[in-house]
Amino acid sequence: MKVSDLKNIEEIKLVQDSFDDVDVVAGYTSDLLSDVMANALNGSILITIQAHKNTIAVCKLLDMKAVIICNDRETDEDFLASAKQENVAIFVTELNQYQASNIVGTLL
Amino acid sequence: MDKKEILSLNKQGKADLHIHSCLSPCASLDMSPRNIAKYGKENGFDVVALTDHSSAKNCPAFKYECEKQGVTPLFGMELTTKEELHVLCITDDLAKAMLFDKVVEEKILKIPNDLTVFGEQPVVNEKEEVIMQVPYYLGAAVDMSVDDIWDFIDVTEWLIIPSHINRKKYSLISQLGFVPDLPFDAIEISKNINGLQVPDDVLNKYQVVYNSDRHFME
Repeated sequence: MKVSDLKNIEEIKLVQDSFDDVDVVAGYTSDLLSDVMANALNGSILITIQAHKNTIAVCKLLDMKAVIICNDRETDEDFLASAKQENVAIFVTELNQYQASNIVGTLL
Repeated sequence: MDKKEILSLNKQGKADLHIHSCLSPCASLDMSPRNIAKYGKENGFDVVALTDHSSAKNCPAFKYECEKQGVTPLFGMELTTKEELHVLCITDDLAKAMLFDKVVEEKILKIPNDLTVFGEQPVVNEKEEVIMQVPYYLGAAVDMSVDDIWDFIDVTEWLIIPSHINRKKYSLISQLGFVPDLPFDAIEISKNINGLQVPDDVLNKYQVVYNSDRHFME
């Protein structure tokens, strides 16, 4: 799938739309950034509730180009600005991490 | 130095118990131990604690600089536990701080520090020369639960204070959703943030400390 394929999912809203529309071959679901850093595959889509700047640092480290923020968590301005700078798409959804992971799973 | 005395000085605005040096990846490089000791002196602090993220490696130089300035130094770190919450661990005994640093160094998740992502992590000596760069990212979690901290320290000699518990990230409340019943010496609250509610029973139970959590000189 491409990052932009997520735009077709009704329950997931794109809130930061300046991104590299790359192929995504894996997903990783976690709310502990240390765990993401240690275990996620490079280039994964990240499914999490951690909507802060450090999340984008981890995306940069692992070449991740899309994040889905679950449970409708608030996204700070500096989080979105940092995502824009690194060309990481940010999606927000009311779904929880399990539900969002299921949807991404059907697309991969 | 007596723990009660330190907390009392904090209350009077004479002890800053939370400052990051250049060793912390998120702090600016002008936060040298020398500049922090001078900051302490110039701002009327009797006591200043150096609390880098999960490392005490700039504490030896900090001790030297504080003694030159006539400020009482405290040593330790802001530990990132396995729950990814921040806890200040502070002692007045440099040797004990360096022993704890060894334990933490062994237990921290070793993510190679990518300078372009996280920034430099220099350890400096008494001449302000960089003697090494810590090669792994100091913001990563340490394989130690918040409950486990007391297994590694002597409770009489350390202040254990969960950091900025009203913050929306890396705090006791953001990560756990509650304040566990643990023998904290105090709790730290961040002023002037759009933060999380701290329950009244927690505010009544623990002394509250306010610190600068300074990462930059200006």
